[in-house]
Amino acid sequence: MRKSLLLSLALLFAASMAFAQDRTVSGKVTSSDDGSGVPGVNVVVKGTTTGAVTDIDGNYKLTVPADGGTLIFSFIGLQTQEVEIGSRSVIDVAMASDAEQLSEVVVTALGISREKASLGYAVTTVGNDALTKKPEGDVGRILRGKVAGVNITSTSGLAGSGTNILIRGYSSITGNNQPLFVVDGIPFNTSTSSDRGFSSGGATASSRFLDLDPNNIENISILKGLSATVLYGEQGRNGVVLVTTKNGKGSSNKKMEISVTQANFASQIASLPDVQSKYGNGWQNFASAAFSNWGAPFDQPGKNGTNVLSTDPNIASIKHPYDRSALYDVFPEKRGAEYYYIPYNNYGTVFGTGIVNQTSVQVSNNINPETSVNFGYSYLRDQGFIDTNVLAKHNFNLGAKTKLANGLTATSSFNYITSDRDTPAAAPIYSSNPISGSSLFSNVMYTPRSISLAQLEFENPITHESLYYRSNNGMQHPLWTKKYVNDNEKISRFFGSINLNYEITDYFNISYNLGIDTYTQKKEYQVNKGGPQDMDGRLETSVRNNFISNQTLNFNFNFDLTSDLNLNAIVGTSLRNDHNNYTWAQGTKQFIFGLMTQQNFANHNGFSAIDDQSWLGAYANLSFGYKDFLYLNLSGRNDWVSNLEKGNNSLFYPSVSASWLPLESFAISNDMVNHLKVRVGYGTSAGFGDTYNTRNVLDTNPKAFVSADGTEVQTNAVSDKFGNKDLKPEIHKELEAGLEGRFFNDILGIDFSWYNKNSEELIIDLQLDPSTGFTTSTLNTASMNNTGIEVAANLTAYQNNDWNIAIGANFTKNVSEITKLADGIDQMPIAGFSFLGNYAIPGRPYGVIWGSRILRTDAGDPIISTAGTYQQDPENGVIGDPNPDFLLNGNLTVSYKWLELRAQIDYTAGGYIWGSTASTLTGRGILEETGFDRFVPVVTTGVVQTGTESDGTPIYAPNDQQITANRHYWEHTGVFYDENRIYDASVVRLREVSLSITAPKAWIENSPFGNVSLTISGQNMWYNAFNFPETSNFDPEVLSLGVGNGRGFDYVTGPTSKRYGATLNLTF
Amino acid sequence: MLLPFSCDTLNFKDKLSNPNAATEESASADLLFNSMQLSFANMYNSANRFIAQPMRMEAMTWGVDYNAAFGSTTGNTVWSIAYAQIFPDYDAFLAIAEPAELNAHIGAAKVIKAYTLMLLVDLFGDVPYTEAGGGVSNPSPVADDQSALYDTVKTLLDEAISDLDPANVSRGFPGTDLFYGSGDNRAKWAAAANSLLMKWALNKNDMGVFDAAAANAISSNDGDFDFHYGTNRNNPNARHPQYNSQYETSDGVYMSNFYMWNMRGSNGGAEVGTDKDSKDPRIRYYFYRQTDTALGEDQFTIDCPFRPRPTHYAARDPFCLATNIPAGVDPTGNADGAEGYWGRDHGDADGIPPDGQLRTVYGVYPAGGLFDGDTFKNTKKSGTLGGLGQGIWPVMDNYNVHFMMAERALKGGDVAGGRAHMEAGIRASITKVMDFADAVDEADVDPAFVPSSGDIDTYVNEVLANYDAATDPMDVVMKEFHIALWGNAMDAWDAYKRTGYPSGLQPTREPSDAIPFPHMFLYPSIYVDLNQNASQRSFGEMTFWDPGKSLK
Repeated sequence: MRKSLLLSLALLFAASMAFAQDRTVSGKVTSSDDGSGVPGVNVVVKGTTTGAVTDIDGNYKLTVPADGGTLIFSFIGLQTQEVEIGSRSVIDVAMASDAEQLSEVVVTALGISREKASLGYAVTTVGNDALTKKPEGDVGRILRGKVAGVNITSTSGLAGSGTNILIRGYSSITGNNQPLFVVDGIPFNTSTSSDRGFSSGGATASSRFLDLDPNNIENISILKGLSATVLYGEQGRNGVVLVTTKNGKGSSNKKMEISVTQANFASQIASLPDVQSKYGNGWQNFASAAFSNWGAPFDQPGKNGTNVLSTDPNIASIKHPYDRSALYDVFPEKRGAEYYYIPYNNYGTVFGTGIVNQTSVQVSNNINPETSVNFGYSYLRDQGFIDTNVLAKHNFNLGAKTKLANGLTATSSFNYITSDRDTPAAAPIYSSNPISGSSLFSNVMYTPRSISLAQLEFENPITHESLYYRSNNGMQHPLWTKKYVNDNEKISRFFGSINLNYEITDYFNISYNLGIDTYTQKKEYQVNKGGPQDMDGRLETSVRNNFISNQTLNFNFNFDLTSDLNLNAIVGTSLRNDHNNYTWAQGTKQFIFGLMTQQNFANHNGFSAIDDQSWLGAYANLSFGYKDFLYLNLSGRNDWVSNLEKGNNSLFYPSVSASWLPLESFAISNDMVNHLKVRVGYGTSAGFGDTYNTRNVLDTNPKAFVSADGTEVQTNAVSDKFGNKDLKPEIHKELEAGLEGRFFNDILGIDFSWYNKNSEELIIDLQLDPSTGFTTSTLNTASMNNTGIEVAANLTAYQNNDWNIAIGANFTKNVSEITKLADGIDQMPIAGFSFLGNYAIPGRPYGVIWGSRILRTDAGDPIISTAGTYQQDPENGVIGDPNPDFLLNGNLTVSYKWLELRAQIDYTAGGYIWGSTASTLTGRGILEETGFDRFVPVVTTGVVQTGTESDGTPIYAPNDQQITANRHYWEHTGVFYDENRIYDASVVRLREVSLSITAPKAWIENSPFGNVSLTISGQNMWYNAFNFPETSNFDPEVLSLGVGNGRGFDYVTGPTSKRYGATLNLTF
Repeated sequence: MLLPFSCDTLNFKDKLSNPNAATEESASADLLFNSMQLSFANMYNSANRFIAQPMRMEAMTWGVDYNAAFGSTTGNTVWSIAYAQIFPDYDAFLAIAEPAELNAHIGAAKVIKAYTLMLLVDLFGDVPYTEAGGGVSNPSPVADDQSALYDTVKTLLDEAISDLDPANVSRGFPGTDLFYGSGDNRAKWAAAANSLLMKWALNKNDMGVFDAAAANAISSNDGDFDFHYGTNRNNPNARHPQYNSQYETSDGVYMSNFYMWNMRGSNGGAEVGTDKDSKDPRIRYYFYRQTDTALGEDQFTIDCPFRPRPTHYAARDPFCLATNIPAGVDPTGNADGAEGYWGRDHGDADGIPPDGQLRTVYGVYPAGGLFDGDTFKNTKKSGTLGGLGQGIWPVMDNYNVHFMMAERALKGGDVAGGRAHMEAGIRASITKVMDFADAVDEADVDPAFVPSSGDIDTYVNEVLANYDAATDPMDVVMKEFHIALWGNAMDAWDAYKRTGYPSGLQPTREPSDAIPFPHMFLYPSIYVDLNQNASQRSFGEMTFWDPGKSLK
């Protein structure tokens, strides 16, 4: 990408005026990295305008004055060299890469490459080397911790589960806050679609950037602020992730190249608790078939309800759980049988080691200097730590580029993806059975110690009904869930673009881009009959067709107004249409067990919907450059959209930014300060909201009821949602300033940004007091602010011919504040449940956690009841802020000759999470730290009311009432009060570690290989969330509310994973 | 320049209306009225669900005391259905029905609206009304004074009675009437309106209104104002909510030990403290036992026989009557002879043991479940048992009218009149229950367990003797009213607040005298949290009409 763009730039600027010259010099420019020819290098005779550009193989030829002189070889990204010509006629040069200049050219809005120095806003580029050879097929997850200002969180460790990406905080309260992805100029749908809400297992849905193949990505540019994204209009308001694939880029430095990558990884559960082995299943120190593990001690056989049948005094036992009348015919051998009441290992029964394989072949060929093609295929099979959790994905890509003699350049990029994913059921839980639907994790994580998942048959061999230790079958056996409940998703996706660029003159060209992104997503949620969570069975089938078409037409100018003043201008228009349709069918009451077809279910219902939205934009961008040290960018865009009423459907948003290079401006040069840049920008954007919010509809139901005589009853009803005709676009305004510099002979580089973003007239889906006649409406009433800083620093700690030690760090801090919701509204739920969820409250950060609290005195002491236990405060309130205080991520690269060690350590400071896993395991007596002497009663800290003063003030005294340890833990540390389930989610993590071996040239020069490398890497190999109960070993990097605006909830919807293995890369 | 798809894409004006829904202009009065009826049933169900707990009709299991059991989310569903469903649908309905002179519809709709508003006041006191329904133009409606709202209830009922007058034109009748069936039911709706007016007048202590309304009230079981469920299991599920919760797969609610004990009689004298020796003829219709014994169950499955009797319980208070574990096996003797009526004591908020196939569930009346003929089946059979959910909600019935007349008579000092109406009320209730069972599930009504007329007379005569012997016969009336109102906790709650009777309700299992009985409930959180002009109240506050009896 970089080189080919520069090729064209070089062609544009290289003057080729000929004077009287005497002789010819030729040679080859090669890369000092691998010896290959470097095309596009500018070769100029110093002090003249005489020059040439190297061809595709790196060869050049030019005439020079007879008396010689000096040749300057320059190429952005490589160190410029000056070579005395002397009397030589052949001058070969090996050019080394220039770390200082590598970041000089960046891809900005609309795919335009700009010198970074000229930008008045922050852009971060992530190169191919940071994206490939990872044990992860999800681009979003690979970017974790790599870019300041970007907060990326996975929803769970399940293979293919979704990933939440947030750039510079949440700026829309109930709208979408995910960034826009643009792939090769096409808006790329990255939505996370689920048929079921989070409360019935929707949180594990995949995000559609999963369809990108990291192996085929050349680089990613992240535009963070509104000054950077204004040309994308409202869709760029949450930041833009610009992905440039290798399609159409040709080979970097050879005529033809084949690159083969084979990766094999292991995937394991990362977040497993340490458990105690002193007490078993039961309640109040008595063995029973409870959900909890507060039963009898293992070391007292014959007591506390054990050994009812047995006379063996040496080992505790209970009546076999399947010794029940309903199963006498099924398991006659269990009748009168006993079951050892001993600790079993259950996690190993369910969680294993998954295998991740990835094979990728990429071929590129520069057919001639004008035409290049590349194509590739990659296959990923990602099996998670549960063996039924498998993602299989095929990516095909094809790109071509050709330049015609008349100045027209055509580039194309085509991609086809098909994938198939199976995921176990993972509905959320409070503390026991799932809230709705099935969950594999719920009944595994807190399995009582004396219950063996492996030994207790999970199904009735005749009926296939789930069996488990509770005699009423009120609990689904996890292995039944694993075998008979499945969530399947199949994707078939095409996206591609054709770009035409017509060069009218050397300073004016016209480009047109047509892109299409279309996919079909077919989901099936399959539940066989016989499980207590869904006794009759269920088959939910849905099909989504998503279609985006996008066209842009740009007029690009680039000329020198005066010798000192350059103007780079773009005037353009874009037209985008999104069309989605959705069909859902549900069958219930399965007939033949195991058969998953709709016709095998007795009852059906269905739903379908379409959604259609268009955006027309017209924009202009003027970039002035004065003497290469002062730059001014003026941009503006007007959008017209289809989803707001006339009068409210158009908006103009401007931006202005400037950058200044003080060293260049004062012609200062020294070794201490090598580069300085000051930038400031102001940008605006809009948000037009979703479709169909402006008009009231009638709720209709063709079969709302069937009366006793069989009459079907239809209904009409006023919709609970109020259609707001006056809905307007929301407005976002951001001021940003930054400082970039390189110091001490380019050893240290720093990039600092500060921003302050005000979001006003925010569109919110406001929950209304039903006494308004409606329960929701969409309104422009809210406002909020995000202020933050981003710092990226890199330090070349040590460097010589063999060694290179580099340290990088990035720091992200974002502080949000809701400033207003609506008149009369001082709080609103934005995610989760209304009684336990994320809330927006003026004066508070975005998304504070709201839940139930313990009743306390004015002094803050818990008020203990006469039963010796806490009481619930009748009012719920804020119990935590899920937003981290800051993120600090560091990376280390140590290379020695052909060895390279990389490590990335991520630290998240602060931010709270409501943790069901940790609190349930504590409250149910599973964690190792609950293995104390449970027969000793406990006095809960707090006060009891002993009387009342004459003025009605209650009199309190310290509580001295004893309760059992069981009761204390269950009610006071466990799951009774949301307040008790809040944990500080600070976590330090070894995100990535890798060791690469790249075969030295000498080893392979007689082989067909151009490059051979082997990388051994691991991801999430260690972490410590030090404020959680120690033996819970909990990893808080989960989002049980799924991708979206919810944060800070763990509902046991899938623990995190760790992955490790090796990647072999060969190029021919 | 080539611009494919541009024409379609640029056609903005066609992309504003939601293509997935109908427009408001296409609404029909009949179908809006249908929606009101279904919303009413949902609201009634939700209210009955939580009011039955303090009234000891279902077990109070949400907390050990009223404060813990009934937080601010308790009333959310009722609030939401009333304001966001019934009232807006009523307004949209009236806008179509009035010009069309659909007076039969209008009268019926006003009865539903009046009931709804009265329930809101009884539950919450001052609530929004005149400022309600304004959408986003008034996001925080101010509450109206409750006594003025009570006047509005009366106005609505008076208007309904007038609209329902057969002398008026009604251009058509509701195509679907889930209370009375198809046809011209104006007289029945009018009688229901008058009967509701009687309850209104008793609450307000306005005997003039009462006497006028009583003259035109429901006068036979045929006129009972009941919402009728069907038997359709899926798409849509049109069955009684308690059938859904106890005859499908889930365990459902716990029955109240007190209420069952109260109907079991003294069991031949073995039971201490009961008011009656004879077993209530309705008990096998109200409750279905899944087992007749808890013998052999461990402490975890049923812990009350293993617990000490609460020391604050009076001698007559029942405790833990679910089992018939014989004395000697039952360590406390709490549970002698309870025949498997397995429920929970008042305020037993313990965790849920595996007793779903053991605990007593709703019977055939009013949920459309099973008649208890000592069959002891597991009821979690995917909706295949008993009356298949063809239940009712008994909103305002003939027996109810008789009991209100009895209360009215005693207030006026007419002890004989009270006696006669009480007897009529009991007999109307028993007849209704038995007729209902025959209608929805005659096959399961085992004649061997059907009370004979002699059994019924024995029961009635014992009640009458108690009446005659009572220091305050109102207590006896209210005890019988409480039993007759199975499925209608709202009227039991109002009557308890009006009279302070029945006496002798079981105390909470944990001592909680300091926490007052809910004369009203906390304002719903969706009101307090979302409405700028709302602030929460505390337990113990009372509606304007509440005489402030000492309740527990």
